[in-house]
Amino acid sequence: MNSEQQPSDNSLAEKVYVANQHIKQIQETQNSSVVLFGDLFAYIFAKDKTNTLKVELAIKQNLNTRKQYLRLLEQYQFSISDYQAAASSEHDLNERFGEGFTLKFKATKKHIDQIYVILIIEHSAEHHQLDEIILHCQLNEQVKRVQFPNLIDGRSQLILELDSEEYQLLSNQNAKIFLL
Amino acid sequence: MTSVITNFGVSDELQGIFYSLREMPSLNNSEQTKFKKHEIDNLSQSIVCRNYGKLCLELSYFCFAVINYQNVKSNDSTNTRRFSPLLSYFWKNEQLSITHVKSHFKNKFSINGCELFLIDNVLRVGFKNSQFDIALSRVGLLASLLEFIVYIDPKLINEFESNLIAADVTKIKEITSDLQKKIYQFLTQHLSSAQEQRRFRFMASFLDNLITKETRLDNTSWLTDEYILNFWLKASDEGNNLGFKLFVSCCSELVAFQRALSVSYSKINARSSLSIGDNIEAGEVSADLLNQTLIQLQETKLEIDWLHNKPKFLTKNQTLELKPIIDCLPFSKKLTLTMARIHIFGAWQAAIVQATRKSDNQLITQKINQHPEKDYQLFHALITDVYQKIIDTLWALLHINHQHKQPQMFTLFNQLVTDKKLLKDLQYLLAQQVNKTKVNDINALFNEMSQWQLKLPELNHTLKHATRMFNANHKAGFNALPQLQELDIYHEGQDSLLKLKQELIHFLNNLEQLLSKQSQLNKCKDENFRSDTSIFFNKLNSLYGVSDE
Repeated sequence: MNSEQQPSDNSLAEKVYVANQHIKQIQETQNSSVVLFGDLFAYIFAKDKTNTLKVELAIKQNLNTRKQYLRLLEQYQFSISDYQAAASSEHDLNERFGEGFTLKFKATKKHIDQIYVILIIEHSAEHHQLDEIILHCQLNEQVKRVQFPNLIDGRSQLILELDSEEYQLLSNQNAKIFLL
Repeated sequence: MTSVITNFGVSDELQGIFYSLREMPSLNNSEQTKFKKHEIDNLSQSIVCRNYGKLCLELSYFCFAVINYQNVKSNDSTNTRRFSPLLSYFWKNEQLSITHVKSHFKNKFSINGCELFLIDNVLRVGFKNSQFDIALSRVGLLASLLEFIVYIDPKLINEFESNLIAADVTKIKEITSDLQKKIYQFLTQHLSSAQEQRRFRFMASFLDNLITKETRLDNTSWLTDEYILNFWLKASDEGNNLGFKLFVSCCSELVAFQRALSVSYSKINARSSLSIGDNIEAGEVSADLLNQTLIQLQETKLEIDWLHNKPKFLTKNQTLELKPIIDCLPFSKKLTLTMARIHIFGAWQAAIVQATRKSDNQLITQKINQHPEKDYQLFHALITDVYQKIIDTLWALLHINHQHKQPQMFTLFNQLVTDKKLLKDLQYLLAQQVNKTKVNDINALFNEMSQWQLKLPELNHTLKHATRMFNANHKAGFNALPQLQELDIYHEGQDSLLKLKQELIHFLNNLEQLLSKQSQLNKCKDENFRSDTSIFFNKLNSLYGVSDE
């Protein structure tokens, strides 16, 4: 090191020290609460199963994330089933209607705690026949993703637990269902 | 209280963004992350140095290319779900590698007098009077910046897509400066230098009071075991709210301080001899110079945390034992006493701090009076043991390389074999073999080696020893012979272990010298240790002690 040439102050050294401390904080952090757009994208299109709970929590707690989530759903929905007005009873719909699709709920005889959910799409897109079908249900800040197997002859079905959050939301007349 | 202060510089949210960027899984391959480690390192360095102007410009040009290229080409896409160009490029298809970018932009394309084409590993965006090149290798970094900005401003993707269609150079620059403003605004809330600045100035004035500027530049002269201990004894009171209460923090901060001084002076000297613009003397530091200096500083770091993942080169405990020494390289090799003090008295202090969190006076008093059981000799024994574990793993790696006929085996051979005659004999045979075959045929060489084993009992013995060490290693990644295609990570680990080995040899040598000097000078074997214990006891008692009432 050449000790004859010295700067008059420590300005670069100070800035480097500060930046280096910041980098250290960033590298050592274990704060995993932030949900980025990429995480949300993967969640919506069911590409990543590991972050599901983290993303659902962020949608629930963070208004910006929720807005972003709804914006993406609205942009990429194939169809939607809005609030079901004037349903037969207060709770537990037997079926609900969307634009071009229907969901039917049937209790199984043997296992009363389980429900068959049947999805019928009238004019389906090709991806409904090839890939699993993704539905998002939303009620206020609560959201859930439900995946059906691909359509066969315009129908697909799934068994859900009666007390599962997924079923509770799907059958709630005030919930909104997005079919992707 | 303390956590607020230590986290003061970078907000929790900003830390969280980088954590999520680093951990984000790839949609194409769930085994991998979306971004490479160096891309996120690079992005975080640019952000903390506030040196993101050029990056933003590159991102705008690249998004311009994606949006306009895709725009016309889109009619060949299949009937299923349709994504907007940016969503499709960066998220749905993750076209971030050089190969991806090349295949996406393979045809030259022009629109409204603008040309997009690949040339020499860059994507060129050519307008009538100007052109802009984007290096293909930087697309992953740009994608991480986009992810970062979209978090700050969720509306950005839509804005980009409507504003960048058929944009001209002026429009692109306008969009870029808007991006910069958004980041700047965000950072005013999430990145503060005040606390670190105070810390730096405290250390600088402490140093100025003790020595002249001339000696400061010589890093061996002032950063000594004694200096660190004295600094802690004073700063733990005066600089209390600056985070100097822990002995271990004082050491790591002083090392960071010294590193910043020395890298800056060398940078400034290099610059002034080249007489490049920046007016450093007057206190002007450009973001770019800062960024470069920071990168230079970061490059010297030896990372060992990953060595306890699979394949498990070392256990987690072993990497933790080494961490203070590794984090303070190259200075730790001279600061052997400080490293021993961190291990022994640092642990003592940590136990007391733990007790203060429970606000149990009796427990605090008990912890203060519970003097450490380990002494400096035991610390030496512990590090020697970890060193031996590194050697054992290297032997196991030698076996793996031998089985897979990897030339890396010879590096290990030279490093591990102490029998000079064997090394000489082997060198002679190798030279002969290379002469004979003319070409560097590694397979033939290894086949020949099994013959040499019959001639040289020492060679046979050495390779058998490697096999034994491999068989005795039951850690993940070593319990069975890895496949040939898995070897990259083993070679990477081998390189790191060899560096560790080198550093530890120096460290242990210096530590041994220190300990033998101590025992020669004193009548009683552990006089120094006992005197240190009492210094630490008095200080810890004054920092944490509670009166019994």
